[in-house]
Amino acid sequence: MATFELYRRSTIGMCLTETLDEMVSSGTLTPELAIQVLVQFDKSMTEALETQVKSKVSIKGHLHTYRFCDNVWTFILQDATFKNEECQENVGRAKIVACDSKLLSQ
Amino acid sequence: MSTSVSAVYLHVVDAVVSKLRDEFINEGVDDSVLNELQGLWELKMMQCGVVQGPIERNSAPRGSGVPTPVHDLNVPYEGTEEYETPTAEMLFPPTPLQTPMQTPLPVEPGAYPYTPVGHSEYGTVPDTGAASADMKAGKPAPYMQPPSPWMNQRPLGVDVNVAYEEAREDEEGGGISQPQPPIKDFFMMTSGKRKREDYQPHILPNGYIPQQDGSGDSLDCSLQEKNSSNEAYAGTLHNRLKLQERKKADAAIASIIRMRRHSLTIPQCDGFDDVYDDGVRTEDYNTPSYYDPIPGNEVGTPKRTKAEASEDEEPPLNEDDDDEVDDLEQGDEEPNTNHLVLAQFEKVNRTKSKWKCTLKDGIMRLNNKDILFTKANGDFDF
Repeated sequence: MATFELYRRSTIGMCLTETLDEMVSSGTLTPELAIQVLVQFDKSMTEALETQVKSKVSIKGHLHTYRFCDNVWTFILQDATFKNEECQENVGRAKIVACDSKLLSQ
Repeated sequence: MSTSVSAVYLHVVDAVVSKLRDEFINEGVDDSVLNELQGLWELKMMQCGVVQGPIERNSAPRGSGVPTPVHDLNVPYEGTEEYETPTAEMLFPPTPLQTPMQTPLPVEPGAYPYTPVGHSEYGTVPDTGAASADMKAGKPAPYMQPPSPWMNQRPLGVDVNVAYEEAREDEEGGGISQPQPPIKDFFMMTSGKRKREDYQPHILPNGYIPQQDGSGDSLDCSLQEKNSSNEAYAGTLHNRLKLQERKKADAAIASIIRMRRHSLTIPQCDGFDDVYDDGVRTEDYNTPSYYDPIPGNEVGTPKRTKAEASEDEEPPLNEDDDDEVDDLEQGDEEPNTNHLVLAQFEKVNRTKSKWKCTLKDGIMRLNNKDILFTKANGDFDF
């Protein structure tokens, strides 16, 4: 079963990737095992986001760039506002990378 | 009841670790490896600030907790395994004969392409050239200089890099096991001088080319010294012919000697003479005329201003249509605030210049904060 690897670019994903890199370089872990760890991370992260998270967010901003390639949308926003129930964040420039949710359920 | 970001992340960590435990066991990997992975992962997340410590767990048996995170975070990561980045103390603990690496050698900081002690990103990186000297004890070394300075505490030459590169292929774990006497003999033997048989004899300090085609010809010596008396010396025709041959050969050899003497230094093939300042090459990459006397106007992509473009009759190539403001903006912002949203999209549509999208299950990193969402609606204008 294929997984979305995009969550590896998140903070938690980068921490895991760095940890695995160190352990593979030092020989503690084999590369094959490291890949299995990452695949399991993909699955667990996706599942956690579905089940453990409840919040909703609204995004507004000026669309500077849009790209749709390989079923992945990439948006670059300027002067974007992200609002959820608790707080609001304003950023001058934001990048949104989104994979097709239908691909996972196929 | 909403779970905090930290709690969700920890839940993910736990889920990953628990699901992998069986896999690790099947592969024959010890459970401690898995624990180390978890510990390091959580440590890094705490350093990023996305997870709040201390981490309390109810389910997984953690025992005394992770060993490494309790360690002083200000100190570079020092592995407990022997194949982690060794320090000088680890490599040379008891031997008084070894040059202590604390000696501040002028070329030491710059001589190594890798960051010393603690930066174990790519594993086994010995931070001292002495380790390489130890390992080279058994290898024939073309240059005798590098090993000896380590014993005599003299500053190192550039050769350290050569020694260092060679040693890198070996695991440095063998460095300690080398006994002292062989290394010492090795150094005493060389005493910094190059042996003649180790070298091609084409460049020697005194310019002498040793004869390799048989025993010494007495005619050669006499020819070089007294040319005028050669005719008198050679009585027969045969000798005269031989003489001419030898003259030509000698002339050729003499010219070679002159050439070689003249250019005892290796001719520079890479451009102008380099300015040597305190033994360090100063290269100025910003002045093209320094290297290339030909002005580089023909090469490269000339960026024409709009004024120039309008002067010509050709239609503008729209080279400047790209927003350069983007690059400036990226440079102005702090490097770690690259605001990123990773999610899945359910719907994306557009009406004229109004874009609407529906996202789900996303992680956002904004203003150094992590925010998770299960649904998001986007309204953008292009």
